Amino acid sequence: MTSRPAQPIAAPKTGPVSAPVATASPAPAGALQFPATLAAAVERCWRKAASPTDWNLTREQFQAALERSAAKRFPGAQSSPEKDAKKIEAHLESLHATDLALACACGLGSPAAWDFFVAQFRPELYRAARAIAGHAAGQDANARELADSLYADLYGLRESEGRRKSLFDYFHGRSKLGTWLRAVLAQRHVDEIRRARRTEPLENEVGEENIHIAALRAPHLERDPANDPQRANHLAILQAALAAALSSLDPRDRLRLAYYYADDRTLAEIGRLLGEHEATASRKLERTRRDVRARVEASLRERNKMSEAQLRACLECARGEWPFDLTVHLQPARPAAGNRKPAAAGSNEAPRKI
Amino acid sequence: MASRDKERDQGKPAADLLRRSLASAAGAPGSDIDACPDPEILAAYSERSLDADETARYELHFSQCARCREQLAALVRADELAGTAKEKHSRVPGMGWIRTRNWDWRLLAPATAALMLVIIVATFRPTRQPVVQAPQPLVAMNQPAAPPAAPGSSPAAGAVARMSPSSNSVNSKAASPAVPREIPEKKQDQADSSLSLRGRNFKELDKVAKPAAAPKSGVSIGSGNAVGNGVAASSDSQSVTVEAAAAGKPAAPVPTAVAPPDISNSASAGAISPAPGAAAKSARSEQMSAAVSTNPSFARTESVMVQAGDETSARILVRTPDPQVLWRFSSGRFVERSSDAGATWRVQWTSPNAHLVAGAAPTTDSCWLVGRGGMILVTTDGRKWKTIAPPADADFVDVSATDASSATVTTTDDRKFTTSDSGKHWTPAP
Repeated sequence: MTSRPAQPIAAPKTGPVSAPVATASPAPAGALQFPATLAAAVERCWRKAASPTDWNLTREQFQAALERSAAKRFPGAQSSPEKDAKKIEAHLESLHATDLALACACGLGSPAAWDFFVAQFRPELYRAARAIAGHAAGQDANARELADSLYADLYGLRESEGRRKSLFDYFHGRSKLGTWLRAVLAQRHVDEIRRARRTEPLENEVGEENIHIAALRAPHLERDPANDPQRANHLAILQAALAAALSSLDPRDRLRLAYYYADDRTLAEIGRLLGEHEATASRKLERTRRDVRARVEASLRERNKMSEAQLRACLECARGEWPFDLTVHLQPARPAAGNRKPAAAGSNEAPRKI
Repeated sequence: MASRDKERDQGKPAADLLRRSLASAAGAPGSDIDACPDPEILAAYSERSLDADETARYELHFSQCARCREQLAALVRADELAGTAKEKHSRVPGMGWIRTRNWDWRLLAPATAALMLVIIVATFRPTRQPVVQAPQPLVAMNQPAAPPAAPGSSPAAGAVARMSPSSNSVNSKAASPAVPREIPEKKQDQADSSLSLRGRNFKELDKVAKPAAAPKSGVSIGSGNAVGNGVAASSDSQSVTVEAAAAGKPAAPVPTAVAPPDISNSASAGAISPAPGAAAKSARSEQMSAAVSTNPSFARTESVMVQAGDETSARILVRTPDPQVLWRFSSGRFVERSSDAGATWRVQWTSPNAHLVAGAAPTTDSCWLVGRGGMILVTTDGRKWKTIAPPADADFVDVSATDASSATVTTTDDRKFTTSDSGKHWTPAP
C-alpha cells in the first residue's frame, strides 16, 4: 500500500499528510460528551465500524466523531446529554459506522485509509461528476474539474487556524459516504450554476409575496391594456388565498407541487425525486391541486364573501397572461445546467404543464 | 397527455396561480433560505434515512428552496448513474419496491409473455437433439475404438450441411481431415432430395440415408443426418432446418467419420457412417413443435429451425456403447449428459470461452472432448470433467479414444498425438 494515493485526483501539491492525528482532528469547543450510559452503544458502533488497524484510528477518535455527529443532530443536547441518551443511542445505531470510520481516518490523515478511499470511491466519484455536470462534449473537463476540486478539499489542502481542514470533517455518518460525496458534488455544481446565473434579473425565493405586491404596483401594469383596478384586486385576493392554502399543505405535497409547477419537472422526474412511482406522483399531484383549489375557493367564498360569479371572474383573472408573470423572472434560462429540460428554459409562454 | 389536457381544461386558473406562487418561497411560513441543509442531510434524505420529523421539516424547506431542489435533482441523476437508485429504493419498507420509479404495471404483460416464452423454450429444450445452425458445422457422432476416417474415405456422408440460398457459403473448410471436402454429387443430390423432403415421412428420408451408409463392415452407427434448406423468411433472414435421422441401436463400437471442422467456420459437412441395418426409427422434419415433442422415440431425431446468424449453435452428439447414454455439447461451451437416450440432459461442464469441436466416448463413463485453443477435456467417472494439458498449442478438430486413459487427438493441420496415461504424456502419432 502506498503512502499516498498514486494520483490523487486533485493532485495535491503538498507532500503527504504529515499532520499529527491529534492536530488534524478538529475538536470543536463545546462538543457533546457522551455520558457513560452510551458506552455500550459506542462500543457497538466501534465494532460495526471494524476499522482496519492500519488506518490508525483509535476508539477515542472514533468516539469523538460520534459525539460530533450527535451534536450536529441534536444541537441542544450538549448541556444535558443524559436526557437525550435514548435519542442519541438511536442516532448512533442509525449511523453508517464503517463509512464514518473511513471518513474519520481519512480526515485524520491515515495514508492507508486514503488509499482505500481512493480505490473505493474515485471511479464512482468521476462517474457522479459526469452525471451531474453532463455528458455533452466539452463538459467532461467540467466534470473532471468538479471531482478534482472535491478531492482537493477531501485531502485537506485548506488550513484553518493552523489545522488542516478536511472536507471529511463534515461527514457525520448519516448517509453512506458515496451518497454524501455525490451530494457534495451536486451542491457545488448547483452553486456554480447559480453563481453564473447571477447576472440574470431576479434571484428567486426571496419574498415572493413582496414581489407580487410590487408587481401589482409596477409601472408596466399600467401599460397593460387589459389592466383594471378590479382585476388587480382579484389577483391580490387570489394570491393571499393561495398563499394560505399552500401553507397548510403537507410538506411533501407542497414539495411535489414545487417540483411540478415551479421547476417544470416531469412526473417521472418527480417520482424519482420523491421515491414514488410516476403514477403515484400524478395522482397525488392532482389530489393536491384539487385540494388547493377547493381551499382557495372556500376562502374566497367565506372570507371574501364572493358569489359564484365573482369567484369565476376572480379565477379567470389568473388565466392566461399575467401582466406581471413573475415566472419569467423567477425562472431564468439555465443554460448548460444539465438539470433542466430544454423546453423549461426561458419559457415565457403560458404555463405549459397545465 | 389526456390527464394534462383535462387539467388544462378544468383547472387552469388555479394551476396558473399555483405555478406562480410556488416559483418562490412565498406561501409557507418559516421560509429561510439561509438554512439550507448540509449535503449530508440531502444525501440522507435521498437515501430515505431521515426520520419522519426531519423529512417533513426538510421537505418544507425544499419546497421553498430552488437551490436545494436543484441539488436533489442533481443528486438523483448521480445516484442513478452510480447504480445506487435501486438499492436506495429497496430500503423503502413494506411494498416500497412496487413504488420504485421504474416499475410500471403496464410492463407486466410483455414481461409475462417473455417469461412464458422462456419457460416454453426451457421446458422443451431437452427433447431436442443435435441442432446445427446454418453457418456452423453439422457434426455427427463419434465412436470409440476407431481412428478417424481418412479424408474423403467416407464419401457416403449421410449428413450434409446445406445453406439456404441466401447463405453464401457452405464452407466445408478442411479444418479436419475427417471432413470430406467434397460430397459426391450423387450423394449430394440425394441429400438434396432429402432436404426437399421436409414434411415427408421418415421412410423416405431413410431411403435417402441408407445409400449413404458407408460400406464398412462392422460399422454400426446408425445415423443419418441431413440438413435441409430452411424456410427463408426473408432474403436477409434465412432459416435453416436441420433434419437428422439418428440410428436406432448401434450394434458395436464403430469407427466414425466425424466431421466437425472448426466450429467457427461458417458451415461444413459432417460425415457419418450409418451401420447397415441400423435404421433410423423416425424422423420429423417440420416445425419446432414437432422438434419439441416429448415422445421418447424422438430423442434420436430432430428437426429444429435455427435462425441463421443466431448465436445458438450446433449441438454435437457423442454416443457411447450404451445407446441410453449420450453426451452432447452445445455452442462448444456446454457439456451435457443424458442417461435416457436424450430425453433429459444434465449440464456437467461449461466454460464461456470454450469451443469444443469433437468428442469420443469409449465407455459410458468416460469421454474425451477436444476443441479450439488446445482444449482437451476428459471425464473418467461420467460426472466430473478435467482439463488436460494439450500436447501442442493448436486447435483440435478430432479425437478418438479406446478407453478412459488412451486417446488420439488431431489438430487442424492434421497432426496427431496419442496418450495412454490420461494425457500426462503425449506422443506424436504417425
